[in-house]
Amino acid sequence: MTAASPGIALRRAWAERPGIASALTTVDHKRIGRRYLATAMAFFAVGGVEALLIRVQLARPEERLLRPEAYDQIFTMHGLTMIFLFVTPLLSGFGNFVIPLMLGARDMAFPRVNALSYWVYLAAGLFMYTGLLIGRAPDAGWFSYAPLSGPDFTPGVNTDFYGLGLIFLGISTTAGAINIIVTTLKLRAPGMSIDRIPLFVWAWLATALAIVFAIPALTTAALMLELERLYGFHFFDTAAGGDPVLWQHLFWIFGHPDVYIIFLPAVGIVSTVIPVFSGRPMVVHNWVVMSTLLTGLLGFGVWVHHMFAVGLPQLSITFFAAASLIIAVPSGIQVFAWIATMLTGRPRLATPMLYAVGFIVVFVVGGITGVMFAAIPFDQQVTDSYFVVAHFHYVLFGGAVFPILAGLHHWWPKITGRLTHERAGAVSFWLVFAGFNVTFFPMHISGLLGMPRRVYTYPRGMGWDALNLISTLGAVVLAAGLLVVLATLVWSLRAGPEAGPDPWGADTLEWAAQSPPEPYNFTRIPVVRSANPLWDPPLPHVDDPLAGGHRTPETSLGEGDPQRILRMPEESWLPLCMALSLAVVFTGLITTTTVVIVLGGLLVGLVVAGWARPGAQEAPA
Amino acid sequence: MTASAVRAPALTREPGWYAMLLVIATEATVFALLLAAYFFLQFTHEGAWPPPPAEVPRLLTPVLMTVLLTGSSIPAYLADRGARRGRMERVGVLLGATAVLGIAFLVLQVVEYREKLDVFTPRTDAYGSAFYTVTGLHGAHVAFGVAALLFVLAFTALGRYSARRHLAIEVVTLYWHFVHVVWLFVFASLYLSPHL
Ligand code: HEM
Repeated sequence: MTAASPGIALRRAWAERPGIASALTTVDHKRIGRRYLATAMAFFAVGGVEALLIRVQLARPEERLLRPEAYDQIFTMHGLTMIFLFVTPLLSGFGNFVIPLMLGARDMAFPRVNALSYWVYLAAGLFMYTGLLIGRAPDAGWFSYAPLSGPDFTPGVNTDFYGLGLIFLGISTTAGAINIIVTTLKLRAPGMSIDRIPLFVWAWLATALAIVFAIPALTTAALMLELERLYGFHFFDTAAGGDPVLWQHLFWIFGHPDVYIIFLPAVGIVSTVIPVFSGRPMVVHNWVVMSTLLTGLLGFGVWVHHMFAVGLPQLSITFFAAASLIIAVPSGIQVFAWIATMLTGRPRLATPMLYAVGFIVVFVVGGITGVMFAAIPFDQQVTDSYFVVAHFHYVLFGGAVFPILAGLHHWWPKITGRLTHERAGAVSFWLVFAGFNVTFFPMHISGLLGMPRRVYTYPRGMGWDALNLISTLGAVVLAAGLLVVLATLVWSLRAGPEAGPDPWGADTLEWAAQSPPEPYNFTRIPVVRSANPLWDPPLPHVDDPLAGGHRTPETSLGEGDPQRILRMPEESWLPLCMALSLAVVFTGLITTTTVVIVLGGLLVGLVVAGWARPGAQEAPA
Repeated sequence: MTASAVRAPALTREPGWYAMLLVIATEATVFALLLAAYFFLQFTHEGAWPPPPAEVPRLLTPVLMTVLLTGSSIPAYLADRGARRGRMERVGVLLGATAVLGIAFLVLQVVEYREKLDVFTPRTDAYGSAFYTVTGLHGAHVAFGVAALLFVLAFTALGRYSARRHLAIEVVTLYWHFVHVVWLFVFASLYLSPHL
């Protein structure tokens, strides 16, 4: 076998023909990953415009730009968009694109399910935004507390876009998480034993496990809400023996782990970037892995801390407060590991590293205000004030958006094959960093001065005027910074220098592939001997039994020993058809037309049958 | 690495089987939370439980349902084992037996619902909502499981699975065990616990 022939045979087996049909049927994890990234960015832009509307409205007292009803819809959609349609899907985009490459696999374990996750995400996002387009968007806040969200206080279809939309979206998130777990457990390159799994993959593994157990709580809560709203059931309504606190429990059983679902993969990006740009492996690699897993686990123990003001028994509150304090420990370990890695390495302040360091600074501040809440008397004082808004933007924007921007600049050359402009990157960083702090820091103070959240305007002379104006100006700077990011990326696509396979001198396997990677990722499946495979001396060539086929190896859970060769599925219409059939069901539900629900159900059944039908050549889903 | 080194050991589970395990984990969480919600409503409720007009449920029908579903897990287990050992001849019969027991369960559930709906409905109060949501969702899982069993039964009869290629059988029987185990919790919570 000559050196060139495996590449040609692989190309024949893996390449998808260009064209519209292929765009709708693709199962390539890289195309799906890119799509996730682009769609999530579009939702970020929409959520950002909503944020700017909020800030313009609040820039000065007694502003009448938005009516109260419009304001309620906009802040609710802003929260929903950022959390559900931007951050998690964007991190899924990185997961999709990068994880199989990092593991040395040729695709995800279930390529068609992967396509399904994307289509369902897109459909659910459009479903939720249909509400806004017809002027009936959800307006009861992103956690839609009962009884406010119930049929008596919020009649009309608005909140149904929330409840049904979240159930719909949950299908995508869950399927994506399961795919990532199985891929990580079973599709690693030979030799990649558990202790050699890259930190980003560990972070996603912990996240995906948290998703598997957290999303059901959201789904259950939303199911009850919709049964109550659409079909007259009673769960949250006291007159019929229900209890609104039940909603709060269910929502935060989901909601708090969700903070870590947002945060862990973001942290995984930081743990990827820092060693690369410090030129050395992560200090205490295994401790970082342990604290990642621990954070994912402890996230389930702290939900009640969102409810300290509800009036629960003292003992249980104390227990949850303690758990909330303990969770600071694994985060602390990670912070020290990052700092030690930078101090003992030779740090280069390229754009990804700037954003990673910016993240650490912001995260420490957000963490401190977070620990302050665990002191219950303090929490009771500032609950539902702008102090809370400041805190969770430090955690969410600081904890997720900075790492996302780090990851975007870090993997951009791999995804597109082109470098970005370093100076422009630095400019964008400083604008975003300054704009972020100027926007959100003053909210701590206005909160302590008593400004409540979720008010569409406020009277003059409360001492909040100047602070709000500063916040709004900060938001303009922040937006400018994000526009510079966008411009940098567009410039790179048009004029950026060629990146080559490994522009950063990085350690993980994605940098062994071409930039952008070939459809089959690797000509030869790599064999792994450490946690930093690209920093090991190269191996001699070995003949590869996979050369030429539409296949990828399956390896054992612990040691990563080769077990079997999996045939991978070809392009398929099934994922798109499934998403459309589900969309029919949810359209039927929101309009309560039984015929449409039944029709959609039948379509779903048909697609499932088509999917499960044993084909001539059996392939994994 | 040579080709022979990567042959599958006969009995390792395929990725699809792990995926089903994870699907079951999420679904089990849904049921756990629904049952937790049921108890939450019970403990925040003052007065008799179940609240009138509902009465403490009678046990005859649900006990029969429990027997049927527990019994159905046995042929499901044997079908999975048979397929994994390559004895495909008996797999069809075993899948069929499982499905029949599942259908019998559903018939009894309809009988049970007809009695209960005369007394209270999902709209009566929170108890009614919780009761019908939990049992209804479980019933839907049984119905889906029966459909899946009949589906793989058909392809087994057509000879489309073999000792090496029968992931669908493993996955469907695994799902069936889950449906069975969930019922045990539903039975204990909704039917037995009010008798304590
Ligand atoms: C782009 C810059 C952003 C600005 C200027 C901004 C501004 C704001 C403001 C002023 C509020 C409070 C509205 C009110 O209570 O009346 C708010 C709420 C919120 N924001 Fe942001 N935000 C930004 C980005 C983000 C990001 C990136 C996330 C999440 C990852 C996020 C998540 C939320 C959530 C969850 C709420 C609560 C919505 C609710 O009360 O239901 N925001 N935002």
